[in-house]
Formats: sequence, structure tokens, C-alpha cells
Amino acid sequence: MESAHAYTPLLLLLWLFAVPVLTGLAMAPLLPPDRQKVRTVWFLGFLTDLALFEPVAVFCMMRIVYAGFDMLTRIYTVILIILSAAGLLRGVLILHRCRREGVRGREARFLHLFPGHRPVEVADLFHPRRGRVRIEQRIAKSELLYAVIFLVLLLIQLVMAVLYAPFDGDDAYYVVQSLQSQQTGTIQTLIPYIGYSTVLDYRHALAEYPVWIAYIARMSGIHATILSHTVLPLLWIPLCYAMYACCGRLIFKERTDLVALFLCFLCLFSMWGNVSIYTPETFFLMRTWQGKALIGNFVIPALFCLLMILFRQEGAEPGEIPVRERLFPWIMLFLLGVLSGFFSTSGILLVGMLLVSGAAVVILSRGKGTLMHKIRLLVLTGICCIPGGVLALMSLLLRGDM
Amino acid sequence: MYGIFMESVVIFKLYGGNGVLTILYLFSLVFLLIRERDRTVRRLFVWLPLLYLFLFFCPLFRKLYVRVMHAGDTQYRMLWLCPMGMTVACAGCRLASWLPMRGAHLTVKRFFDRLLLPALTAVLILLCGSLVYRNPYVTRAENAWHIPQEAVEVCDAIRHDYGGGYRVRVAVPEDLVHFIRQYDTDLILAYGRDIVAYGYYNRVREALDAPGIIDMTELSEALRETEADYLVMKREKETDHAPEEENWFLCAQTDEYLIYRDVKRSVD
Repeated sequence: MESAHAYTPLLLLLWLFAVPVLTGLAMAPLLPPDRQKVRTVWFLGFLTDLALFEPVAVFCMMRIVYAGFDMLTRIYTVILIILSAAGLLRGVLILHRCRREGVRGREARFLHLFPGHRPVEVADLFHPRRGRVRIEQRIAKSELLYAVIFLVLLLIQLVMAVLYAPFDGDDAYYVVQSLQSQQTGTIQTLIPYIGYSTVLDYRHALAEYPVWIAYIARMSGIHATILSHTVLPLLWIPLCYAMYACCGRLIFKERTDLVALFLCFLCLFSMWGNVSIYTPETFFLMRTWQGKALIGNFVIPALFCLLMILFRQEGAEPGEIPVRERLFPWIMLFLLGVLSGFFSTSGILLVGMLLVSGAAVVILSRGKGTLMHKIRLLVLTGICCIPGGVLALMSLLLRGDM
Repeated sequence: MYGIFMESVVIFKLYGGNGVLTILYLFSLVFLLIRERDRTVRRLFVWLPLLYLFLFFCPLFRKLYVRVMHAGDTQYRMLWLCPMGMTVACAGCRLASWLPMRGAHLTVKRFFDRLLLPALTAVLILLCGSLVYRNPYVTRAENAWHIPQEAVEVCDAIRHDYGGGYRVRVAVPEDLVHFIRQYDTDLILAYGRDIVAYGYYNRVREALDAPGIIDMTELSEALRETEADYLVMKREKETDHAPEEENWFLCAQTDEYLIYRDVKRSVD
């Protein structure tokens, strides 16, 4: 059985990093300029790519019985190529404009592509609400120590993820589902446990994350089981901590010295949180590659992070925050709404509950917004709930409850 | 209603394991409720989780959840909406932030103070929790697939014997059931993980994994009924008579397993 080929690492970098960055570049005009950093652009592109996978995969699964995955691979690759080409074109146009305007130097051109990396302006440094108060301070020795401890703990987790193999019975379903799609070209037509033909499994049918793994595996020429068990933890574990770091920055605001300590505590909590098989921490390090682990450790923290941005925005005067900055959390919330069903069917309910209750608190709070503003928030919440609502409706239809 | 409420209590207890980490979380929740000045943090990490906890224990909500999800066994995931890790970490940082902000003159005593409270919080987490890597189910990976090497060798041996290109049915002992199809999905199993995990009856499993000596006639009949092409048996397992007498030809072997091919099906 072929495990991987010589170009697999490069192809993995292409599909997991380069393509999302290009997709993100195409989508970047939606972001406020000071958020257009490489990491945010990649993150937006990555979420967009994942979110687009869901409807295409569901369509192929429902319409094509025997070669659904083969068709999905073709359609989705074309979509990604179009999005990447759009991103590339935008990048080329920006660079072309730089040349026309006589912008010289690699760094200056890079800053035109990703303006979020521009040095913070003096006005922003002392702005009370934009959350970018970064007064130059001497780095405390303890902060440095916590940052080092965090990096060591993270490294331990990554090394353990590669060198150690947690046994989980559910892998016989999820990992096999990925491998089955990769090797047979089908989606959900065979029972993963034994391999016989079956009817659509309504409980797992809409959670297309294992099929996405199969897609990345096929495009990179790597065995889906190796991708799941050995490679994906290297992507998801740092990404989850990046999410926690965002939360930390929003919680502690100008006390940035506490973020590293916050991450240290979270690292310890993740490693020592195995008090039962049900905690998100157990899922995080023992079944990182499964969709439900990512609901608990990626989607829910991301939602908390975005809700915190929304809550903070509500404290500002109307009109103080630019429109694109106001829309940014809602775009992300919409994408996470799609991803709730992508990772796990139960995620639809969890994400829906968190989104609705969080938004309700924002809307009902005594903020500085007018009635029109609150109605606008209500409409935006409704729009973000549409993907989850559609998936929930489909799930009920598949079960025959409706 | 009381019965339904108690079901939620049992789920909550199971979720918390030894319960000490849950107590640490509840302490952190109360600490943030009292000490946290930031309204946003209090709303998100105190009030919303309290709402979810209320809903979790509410019998009507459990009834609704079971009705919507068609299963109550995933209700524990509601508790994921109460971010235990972030709440404890946030409370720990707030404890540490009682100490002077950075930039202030750093003395040895202050440096020690800055480490002391965080270190105490960390020790609390370590003492209350259980290290994930000490879980008996976490073992050293034997290969990049993270499945037992024996499973890889069994699959390779079978593929080598029949040449690949089509799918064959295989009966394997219980300890290989989880892994065979994580390596090669061209191998269809006579029984799968569902039979093992949920204890359903399966004739092949009853015969193959029976304690003591295997009744080869019964096993052979069960295998032919499921049209199995290959039989994988543990080397140390004894049979009442040789598998060859039932037309099972020994085609390959690994350190721990013997692999037989059904001669009758090969002839067909």
C-alpha cells in the first residue's frame, strides 16, 4: 500500500497553505485593511475553502451514487482553481499598480499585498477602543518565560501527536470513511466498519469533514490514514492555540503580558484534562483528526472569540468603527455556521445555540446602538443562522422526520 | 421529570470524571463572577455558561435534545459550551494580574511573586487533572498509519496473495477488526467494529473469538455462509482439527497470525 510519494510534502503545503492564501487574497477586500495580514488572509481563505466544500460534497453525495467522490474532486478542484486564480490576479494587479506608482523594495510591495502588516499608526496606539493599544513596553522576564514554556508544551504536544498513537474505536468509522472515499471514489455508500453497500447514514451524512480529508489525501498522494493520524494534528493543534491566543488578546486587551500565561494554562489544561472520555481536552489530543474534536476545540473557541469582538464593538459609539471592521466578525460567523455541520452533525445545534444566545445578549444589552442598529444585528444573526438552519432541515429530511 | 433530571446529573458526573477539575472550574466561575470587571468577559464566561448549565439540567431541554438529535448519548457535548479550560486559564491569569503590571521596576521578590501564583494555579490543574499521555490507550506509534504493524503485515500478505485489483472478504480476530480497513479498504470484513463494540451476535465472531479451542467445522460453515475468502487466526489459537481439512489453505503468516485462503472459492 503506497503511503505517500516524494512530492507529498510540497503538495500538502500547496493545498493546505498556498491555495487558502490565494483564496484569502481574493476575499481580502471584505476584510478591513489593518486585518489583512498573511495569517488572517490564510485563515479567511482556509475557512472559505472548507465552507465551500460542504455544499459541493453534499450535492455529490446525494446525486451521484457510485463515483460521487471522483465527481466531487473534479468540481471542487475547479472551484479552488477559480478562486486561486482570482486571488493570484488580484495579487498581480496590486503588484502591477505598485510598479506603476513607483513603489520600490520587496517589503513595500509586500505591505501593499498585506496592508495589515503596516506599522500601527500613532493615532491607533492610543485609541481607547480599537483593541490595538500597543504601547512599547519592556518585555517582562516572566512573560518571556511563559512564552518559552508555552512553546515547549506545544512542541511536546506536536511531537507526541506524531510519535504516539491513541487508540479510538471511532477511527474504524471516520478514518475508514476518508480512506474509503480516497480508495473507492464513493461518498457514504459503503459501511466503513465492514465495507458492504448501505443506504445513506443520516447521522453522519452531512458532516463532510472525513471526505475533505480524503480530498486532501487524494490531491497530495498521501494515504488518508497517515494524513488523519500523523499530519493533521500538526495543522489543527497550533490552529486551535492560535484561536485561544486571539481569545486571550481580546480578554486581556492591553495586558498582553498575560496572553502567554493564558496559553500556558490552556496547554496544561489540555494535557491534564483527560478526566473522562467526554471532555473536549480528551478529544483534542486523543482524536484531533475527528470532526467533533474540532467542534469542541476550534469552532467553539472561535465563536467565543468572534462574540467577544461583537461585544467589544457594541461598547463603541455608532459610526466609530468602520463598516468593514463591523462586518468582519459576521463574515467569520457565517463561515463557522457552515462549518458547524461540516465537522459534526451535533455541531449544528451547539453552534446555533451559542450563536443565537450570544447575539441575543448583544442585541438585548444596553449598548449605544439605535433600534435600527439592533434590527440590523438581528438580521445579521439570522443570516449567520441560515447555513445551520438549512443543514438542520436537511438532517431532519434525511431522517424522515419531516 | 425527576428521572430525566437525574439522567442529566449522571451525564454531568461522568463528564467530570473524578470531579475535581469540575470543582476547579466552578471555583473559577465564581471567582470571575465576583472579581471580573470586564462586562464582556463576565457575560461570555460566566452568564452564558450558567445559562447552558441550566439548560443542560432542565428536563424539558433534555427531552427536546433527544427528540431532535435522535439520541441522548451526545448530550454531554452541551457542556462544551461551558469553556472549562478558558475559564480556569482566565481566572488563573486574573489571579496573577493582581500583581503589578510589567514595566514596573522588577525586583527578585516581584519576579518570584509573579511566578508564584501562576505556578500554584498550574499545580492545581496538574493535581486535579489526569495526563492524557498516561491513558492506557495511548501507545508508541509503530508506523506512520498509527495502527499496529501486525495489521499492516496481515493486509500486505493478503494483498500479495490475491494480487489486488478487486475486493475480497476477510474474517479477522477481534483485535484486528478496528485496524484492517484503516489500511486497505479493498478488504471487506466478515464482521466489524459495531459487532465488537455493541456486542451484537455474529456467527463468525462467535466461532472465531470463542474462548478455548475453536470448533473448525462451525467456523468453516460460518465463513462459507458469509462468503469469506480469507481467514486470519491468532497463531496461539488451537482448533479441534486442522483448517486444511476444511479446505482452508495456509497462504501466509506473520509473527502473530496465520492467514488461510478458502481453497473452494479459489477453485470457483
